[in-house]
Amino acid sequence: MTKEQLTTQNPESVRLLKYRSSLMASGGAMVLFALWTVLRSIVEIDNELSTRADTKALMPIVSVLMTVSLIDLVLKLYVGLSARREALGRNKKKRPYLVLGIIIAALSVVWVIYILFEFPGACRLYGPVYPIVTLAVEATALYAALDLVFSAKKVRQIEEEMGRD
Amino acid sequence: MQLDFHYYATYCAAYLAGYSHEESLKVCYSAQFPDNCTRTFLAGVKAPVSAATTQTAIEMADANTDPIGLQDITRIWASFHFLPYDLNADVKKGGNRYKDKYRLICNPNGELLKETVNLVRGKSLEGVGMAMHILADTWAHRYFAGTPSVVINNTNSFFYEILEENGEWTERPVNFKHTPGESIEKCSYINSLGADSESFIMNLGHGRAGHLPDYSFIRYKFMPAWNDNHFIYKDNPDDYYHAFCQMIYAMKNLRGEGGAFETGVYAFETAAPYEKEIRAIIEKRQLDACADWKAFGEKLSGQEIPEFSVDAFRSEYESAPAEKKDDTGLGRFTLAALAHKSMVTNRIYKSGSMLAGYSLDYDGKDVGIKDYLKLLRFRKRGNRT
Amino acid sequence: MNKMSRIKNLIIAAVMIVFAGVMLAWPQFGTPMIMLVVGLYLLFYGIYSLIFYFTMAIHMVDGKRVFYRGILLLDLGVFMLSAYRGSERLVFLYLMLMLAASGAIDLVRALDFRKQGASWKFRAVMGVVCILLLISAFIYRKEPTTLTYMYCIGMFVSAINRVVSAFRTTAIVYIP
Repeated sequence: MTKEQLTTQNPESVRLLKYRSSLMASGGAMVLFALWTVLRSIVEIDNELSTRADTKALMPIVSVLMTVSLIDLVLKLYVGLSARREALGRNKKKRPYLVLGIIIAALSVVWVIYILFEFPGACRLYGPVYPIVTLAVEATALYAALDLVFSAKKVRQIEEEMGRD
Repeated sequence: MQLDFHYYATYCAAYLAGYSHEESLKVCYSAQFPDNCTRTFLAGVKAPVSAATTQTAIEMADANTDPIGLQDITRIWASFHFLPYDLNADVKKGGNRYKDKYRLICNPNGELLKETVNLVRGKSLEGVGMAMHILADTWAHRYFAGTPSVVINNTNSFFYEILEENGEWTERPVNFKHTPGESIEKCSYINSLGADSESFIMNLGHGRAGHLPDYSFIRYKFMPAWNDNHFIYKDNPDDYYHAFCQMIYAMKNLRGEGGAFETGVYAFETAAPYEKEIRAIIEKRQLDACADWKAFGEKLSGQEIPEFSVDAFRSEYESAPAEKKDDTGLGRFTLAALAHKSMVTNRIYKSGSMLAGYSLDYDGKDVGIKDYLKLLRFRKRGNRT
Repeated sequence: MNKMSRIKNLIIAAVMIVFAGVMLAWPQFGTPMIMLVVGLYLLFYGIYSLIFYFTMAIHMVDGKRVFYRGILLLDLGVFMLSAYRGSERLVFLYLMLMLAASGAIDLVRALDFRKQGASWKFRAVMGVVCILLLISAFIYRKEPTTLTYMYCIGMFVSAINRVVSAFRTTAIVYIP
């Protein structure tokens, strides 16, 4: 390459870097939110079990909940870390994480709608702070999922236009 | 910049500007000293601690990052190592807090540089040396600000060395780490730990770019946090040559040649006979160019340049009686440093920013940092700093 | 620092001293009170992060992660306020890390001072005290009141620092 090619930046390149930055942030957010959700679930379940006398009957439900949580964690880790790899330009083969990302985003939409339906009841039960923060967290997780999908698509589109595909 | 350029290269520039060997030694010693004049050192020799021109890593780790602490940090670093380019820049984004920090970004040839050089006109050689340190750093440390700020000074993984191999230009990613041991071949360098806290001390200056701004041979591109996803190409060899030639011009000017100091003027013609040699030193791929600059300087003057030692200033100052301390090298240096810090703080304050703290005309009633009273008394006696 | 900031610092310091005193007097209420304080701190730090994002970091490359951090801290704060059982271990670990860092910095700074010929003993003593506190906290980690005592000592030191800051002379630079 020439020095000029290496040291000057065209508008397409600026957009590419902008979307890569978004992809990096939303990928990281997905990983962190997933880890935090599992950690919180473990503490909440442990707390719930410690307040009950007979926990044997609850074990099957707990097992199912933990299994679902772990599957959710693994999928989100895969999507988040793949997004970060693509943002760093290390994705030589295009990984299929985008499809999973779309599914996670769709499920997040459903989850947020469910929380909105339950919001009045939750406020009556827990007061306003806890439901508002929960809604904010889930809405942010949804935003991160949507941002990840959008940014990944834009990165691939711009890279194709720039002839790097 | 580091010892090789501040000490040895400044000696060469001073000699080429017409100073004698002894005068050039005084200038270059004081050009290096701003990187050694810490509060700890000054307290140890019982000199005014407000004249501190730098902080050690430990002092910085220990520094308060409350508003007073941040003002103190900014006064030191913005004054001596990251001289702001344009305190009244038209910033089209962000609120006042963001704009104040943006306006501290360092670049060469700003109005403050003119004031810095003119402030030492007719004063001591120690003041000249200090001004040359500041001038040189405006080239090396450009695009960073002398205040802890993640939104200005942060960088990310977009960091590439640009190098020429067999006539072909290529780029390779810079590998940053936080443990000692740098390698030019592996393109592996140290940088400071990143954190998203605005006032975290590691977000001061070019910490996130490591020592790369201080290595004269390297060309690289990186993305500063303030530049909206546009990268900056930093050509250190070109910048260092400009810094060298501008130092020659500035020192010729201070010696009385050619009217007032103007920015954007360089003594290329004075350096021309030695340009090939100078560029070879600057572009040689090495982390420390002291030996090469020393050899060049000794060839220019035919005299030996002693190794830099902070004890030279210390012993003279400690052995002088109290009434004669201001006439020692360290005494003159501290007065020049106080005057310069005073000026820069005032300009930052008058631009509407509180990042460097208050700056008021002394009215006989307000009490502030008592060290500055020394400066005031010195000026009232009509003495030259 | 203007008068309002000084008064604010003194009031906060006084509240911290009273709070630490109350916890020392009734250590059995220590852990829930610490959870409350830490929870509120995280909640407000989360809000601060969000404000920081919308006023400053929104203009920064990679600034979005500040927004995500703010949301996460909000949730962490609310979680702490709900006083779940596992949370005090997280708080204990955080306090241990703070003591270790503080002690190490004080000792290295004392060595630096000593090399330069300046006064170093006070710094060295502070560093040794932090390390001893850390070791004691680790030895007595299974005692229910250890967390409370660690936290109270930390609060006292922090309060003293605020008082010292409040009385520090504001820098006024003289212009010739």
